[in-house]
Amino acid sequence: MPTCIEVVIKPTLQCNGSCAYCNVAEKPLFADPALIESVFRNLANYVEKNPGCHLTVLWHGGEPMLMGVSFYKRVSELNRKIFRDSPTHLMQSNLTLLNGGLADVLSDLLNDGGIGTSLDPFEDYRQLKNGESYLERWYDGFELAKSRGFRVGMVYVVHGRSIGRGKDIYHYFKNLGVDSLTLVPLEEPAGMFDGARLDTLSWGVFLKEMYDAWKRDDCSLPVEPFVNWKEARSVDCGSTRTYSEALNCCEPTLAVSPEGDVYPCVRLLDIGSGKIGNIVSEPLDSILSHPDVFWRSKRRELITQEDCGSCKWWKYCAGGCAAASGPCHKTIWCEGYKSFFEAIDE
Amino acid sequence: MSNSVLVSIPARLAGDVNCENLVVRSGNCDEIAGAYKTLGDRLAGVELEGLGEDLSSLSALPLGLPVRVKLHPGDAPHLYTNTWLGDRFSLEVLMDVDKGLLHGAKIATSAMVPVTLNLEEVSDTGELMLVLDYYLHDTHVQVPVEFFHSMITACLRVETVSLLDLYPESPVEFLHVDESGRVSASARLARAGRFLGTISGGLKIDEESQLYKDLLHRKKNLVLSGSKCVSCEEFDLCEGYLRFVDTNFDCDPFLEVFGATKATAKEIADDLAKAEELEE
Repeated sequence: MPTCIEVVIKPTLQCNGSCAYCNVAEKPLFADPALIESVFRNLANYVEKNPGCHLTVLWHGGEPMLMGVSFYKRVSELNRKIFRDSPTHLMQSNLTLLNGGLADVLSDLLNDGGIGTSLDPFEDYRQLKNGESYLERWYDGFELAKSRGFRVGMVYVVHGRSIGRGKDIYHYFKNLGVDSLTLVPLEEPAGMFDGARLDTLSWGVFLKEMYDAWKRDDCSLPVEPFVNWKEARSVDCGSTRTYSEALNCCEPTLAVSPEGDVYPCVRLLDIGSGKIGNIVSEPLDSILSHPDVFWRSKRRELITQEDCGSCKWWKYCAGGCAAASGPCHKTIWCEGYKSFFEAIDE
Repeated sequence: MSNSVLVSIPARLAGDVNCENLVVRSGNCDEIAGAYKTLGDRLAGVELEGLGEDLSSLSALPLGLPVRVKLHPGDAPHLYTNTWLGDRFSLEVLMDVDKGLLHGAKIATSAMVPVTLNLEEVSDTGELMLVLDYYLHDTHVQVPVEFFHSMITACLRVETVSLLDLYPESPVEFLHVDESGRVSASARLARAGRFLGTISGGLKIDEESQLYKDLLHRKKNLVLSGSKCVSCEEFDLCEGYLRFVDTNFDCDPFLEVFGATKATAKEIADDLAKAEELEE
């Protein structure tokens, strides 16, 4: 029995934004509160039978705030009604639709207080479909979220034009006042993106730039993956944290579409590949018994039988993102990671 | 407009406004004494523009009143002959950042008069680091030299005090009335021709003015304009203050000071931690 399950609910795949490197195949679908009720009941039944299991629900999209106030009000009511112990609720949003009404409702639902968001400080890769300024709408939403006490984590997509700007990007986000920064390399397929791509060695160069700025600043802003790597390293030093905890690994992840279809990973849902069940029509036990649910662990076993098994950096990389690299291959960023680890090891 | 707003106004115009907290400015002590007669308890402080005149009429002002002397470093020796000001008032010097700053700061601090660097009058920054070094390492310094003092003590408490905290330009806290009765948020903004209103018919500010909006949304404006300040390593200590009036202002000497301030605070904190370890 898993001790934690991450449930990523995508109540819609629609978005008010159009980001140059987005992979999500938009469909005009919006989850009905009745579907959410079914999902919650299914999850609650499972937890009732497996009391040691903790649930984290991440509201994702598309743009989840497109669902509006009344939807989340109902979700909040269902959450109180159905769960004895509420799951941890988080959200990933572009924040451009946040207003006072939504902030009120989400203050109630997002019991961890965390909202993840995205911005590109120096390139015009993120836009709104209605022609308004993404940056201005984002800033207003960000200020409102902070003023209401939400912790706002920034997800920054690293692309070819990020190289040489690691220090600027670090200080930009720190000065904005975000609570954390997560670096994600731009991976293929990257939508209709026609900007500068990222190659594996450039990823290593960017990590080093960012790492130097972070260290010089006494690591004052939590930056992923550095914080995870620092914790993974502490396992060597007799820390009680386990390897998987240090990697912040929560397996299984169940990504739920607006129709209730379940995928073992958000990225697979985005491209509509690898469905493992439907959470409205099947009990969670049945979905969790699907052979692909623990595909990331299986992949790790598989790739450590090859090059990765003897790699001195394995404990920090752990094979990287499975969806980007495929179920049988090591990370596509291998050379970049190695060059970075070797550079900082010196 | 709230009654708690501090209004800096030329002494000769002080009778034209009915605000509760006024700082009167003048180089003429008789004008200041006259303003006190008019204002009474509404006089929150005095900004004396130089020390060249006969200052005896200031003795009519209440004991302990905050008196700030605006001084070019070259005029600092006048402090020697006016030490009674420090005995009678809560005295400080607002010193222009210009040639001779180190010598001027030494004179003022030797006379036990706190110094604030006047960032509204920056002509020559060549001695900034020397003054910081003097403040940090000269054992004779027993009074604050601002902005160094507040920044470094905040760093030691793992807090941040920025130039915007120390040189406030918020119309809800502070207003500056110029010689023509026009209202701005600071002397430098008034000199740049940026105003919020006038005092004709009573002090009024236009909350729809561009300056008012700019002052209340400084950070957002920096972000939306793509200002380099947002990615500056020392933004926490400046918050865009230095380039608010002139976007081409040369910040480098100040960035050096900020960096040294942080490094010194870290050094002191490390030393304190080591000392605690030894005690244990």
